[in-house]
Amino acid sequence: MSATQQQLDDLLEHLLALTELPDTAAAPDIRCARLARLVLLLAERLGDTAAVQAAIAEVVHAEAQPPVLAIP
Amino acid sequence: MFTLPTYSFHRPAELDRPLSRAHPVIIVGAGLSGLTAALDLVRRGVRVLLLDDDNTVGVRGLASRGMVWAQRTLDIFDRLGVAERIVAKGVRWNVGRVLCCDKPVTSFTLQDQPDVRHNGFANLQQYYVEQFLVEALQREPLAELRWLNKVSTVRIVEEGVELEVETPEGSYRTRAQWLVAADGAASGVRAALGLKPEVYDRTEDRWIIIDIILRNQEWPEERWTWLDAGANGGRAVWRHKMADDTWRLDFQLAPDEDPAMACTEAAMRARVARLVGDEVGFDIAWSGAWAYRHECLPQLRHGPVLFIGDAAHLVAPFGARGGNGGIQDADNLGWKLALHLQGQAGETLLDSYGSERKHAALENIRQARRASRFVYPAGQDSARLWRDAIIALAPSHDWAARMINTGRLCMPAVYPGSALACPGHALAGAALPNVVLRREGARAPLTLHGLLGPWFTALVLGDGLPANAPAHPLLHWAAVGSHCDAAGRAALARQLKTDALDGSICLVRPDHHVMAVLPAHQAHQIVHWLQQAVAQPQPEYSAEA
Repeated sequence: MSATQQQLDDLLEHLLALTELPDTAAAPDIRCARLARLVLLLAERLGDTAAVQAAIAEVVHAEAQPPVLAIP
Repeated sequence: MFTLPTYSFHRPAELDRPLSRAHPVIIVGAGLSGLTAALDLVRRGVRVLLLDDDNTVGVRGLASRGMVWAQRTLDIFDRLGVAERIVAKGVRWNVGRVLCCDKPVTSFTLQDQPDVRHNGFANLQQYYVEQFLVEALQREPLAELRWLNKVSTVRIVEEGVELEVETPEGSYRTRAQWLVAADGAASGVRAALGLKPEVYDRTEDRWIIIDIILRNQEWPEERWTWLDAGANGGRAVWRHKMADDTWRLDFQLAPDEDPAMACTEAAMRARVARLVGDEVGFDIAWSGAWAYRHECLPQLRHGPVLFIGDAAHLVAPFGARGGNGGIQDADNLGWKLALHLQGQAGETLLDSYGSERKHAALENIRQARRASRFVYPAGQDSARLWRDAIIALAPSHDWAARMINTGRLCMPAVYPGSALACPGHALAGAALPNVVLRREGARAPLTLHGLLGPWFTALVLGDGLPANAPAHPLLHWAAVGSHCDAAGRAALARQLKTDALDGSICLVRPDHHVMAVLPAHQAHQIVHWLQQAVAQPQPEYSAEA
């Protein structure tokens, strides 16, 4: 089922809270660790390793060639 | 180029003879919320004196920041008889585009809403809206507008409020039973009473509005938002169309930029040219620098003084929640103050104004903060991390595109925890949607709000009134079924979030918010609910509800 706008906005708040850390030297490492654990948990929930690998490939590919939406 | 109207100063009666009795209501500030409150009150039979320290609409040198009038505002203005002029003069766009680093990242097309009276919103300069409200008030015998009347002191006294007012012909003293402070962000009334708002945040983020009229080009009527425009030093820009072929360009300033320098004619022309190209000819219609902060008074009622609009709360403009919120304040307050002054409601009904509208203000602040943080994450690493990821994915992923938040347009407030709402139905506390009642062969379709009375309405979602329909002087009964055919009923049920028109009864407040939805066999409870709303002490707003 498609998420409502409110659900998406609330989800972003939770994601922000996950990576919101006091400004210390350790903050970037903790942030990365949290994101890595989140990705693994989502991959487990998804239960589709091919889909996860496709998403990884998309991220890596996008860094080399950012997608652009064609707007007239 | 539009010239602001000027209104004449008339010598106030109090300069020549002392006031024999207090004014029932004085409103300080003839801006959006003050004018709306005045019009609502006089339409409800209350005599109103409106004081303004200027003699025109807008604010000289700061005019017309507001420009997007949301659906709920248009419904309120419909009730007050000014919506048609606003919609006719205004502009509506359907397509919005978001660009980042000068590359399009997403676009959206707003769906038409044929089931409701007003299709989304109207873009119109604030001074037009205020002018239409002034003209409506000038036709009202119960309204007195005093221009160039500056309130210098405010004192709460036993029987109400005492004011000292300065005019070009001297100062005078006057009194009111109730004072509505609608005197804006730098409220003099608030300062005179020593009240301070709670500040939720303030940023160094500053912007400059440059409204332009194109000379030799036409642009599509679309809203464009640049999150990081190369032409603006990597900072945000908005482009909206308003009336009179005027385009609002709103540029985010660099942190170290001097707003006074940015406001010079040469700097503004250069800034616009960098964005639109040297070949585009334009005239500057209006300009002004601005900043924002989020704040709200701890209490919106202070004895006989009621704060509305920017005098009560301030919010970033992302989502057009300032002006639209102030108009909803006026809509919420008008009927409560009128019923109290007419001896039909206890004073505690006015406390529900404060609790309901503070709840709405905090929701507006919550929503606007989300948008302002997305547009300007500044030093917030976490916000920037997700913002950049969302922007990177948005061109190819709808989920990410929908997370782009450049401002969610102001929605009608919902008061689920209010003492005036009976929980148990999705509509309780919400504004009743102004659904078009379609019936084949009908010459001009009615709308749902057209069936409502001036005060409370028991709206039967069925074909006829219940046999035991109780009467009350403030209660109007109406049944909606006979005004719709099958397609109309389906649209109505969809909008009201109900399965069918089963004869249940919607108790609607004078501001068109729903108090309760009851099954037909509980019709006898309607009057009990109504009496409780107007007469009984109101407990504090329940955050848990």
